[in-house]
Amino acid sequence: MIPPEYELALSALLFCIGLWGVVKRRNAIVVLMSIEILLNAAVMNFVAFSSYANDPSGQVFALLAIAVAAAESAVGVAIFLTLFKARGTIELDRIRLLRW
Amino acid sequence: MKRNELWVLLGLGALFVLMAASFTYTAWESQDAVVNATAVSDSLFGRYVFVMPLIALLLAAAMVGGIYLAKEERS
Repeated sequence: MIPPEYELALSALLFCIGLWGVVKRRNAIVVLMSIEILLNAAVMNFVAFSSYANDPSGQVFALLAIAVAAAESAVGVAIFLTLFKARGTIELDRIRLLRW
Repeated sequence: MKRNELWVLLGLGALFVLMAASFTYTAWESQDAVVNATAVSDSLFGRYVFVMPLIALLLAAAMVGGIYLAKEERS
């Protein structure tokens, strides 16, 4: 059995990589992929603590989190497709639809 | 590399070191028991049976929303 601190450290590393992508990158697809990495870090925490506590509930909710991630990426890609048709770009610096 | 990127990188590095140190220095009790697939399936179709229809609803809503957002407008 893998010690939980290794899994949690890997999860923290994944979280930091995802956060770096969200903060640094300007391409909307890359930001969406970084958000997926953040969600995967959370899922890894679920699974790590489920394995540690010998309780399968964490893996059930990891499945739910994976479904949420799939739904989010599907809607996100559809929104970016519509934005690209309307504006011709998905660079987040150039999209100011929500700016008041 | 720009100066603000360096600050972000330093902040993320500090965050990672803080989290990794907190995980490493926690006294985890060693446990030999491992959750197997039978336990997960029993939990999924027993106690948390609402999760499966919830996932189905969520994915169906995402599919309908994605198709609605991405469909071509007829001229």
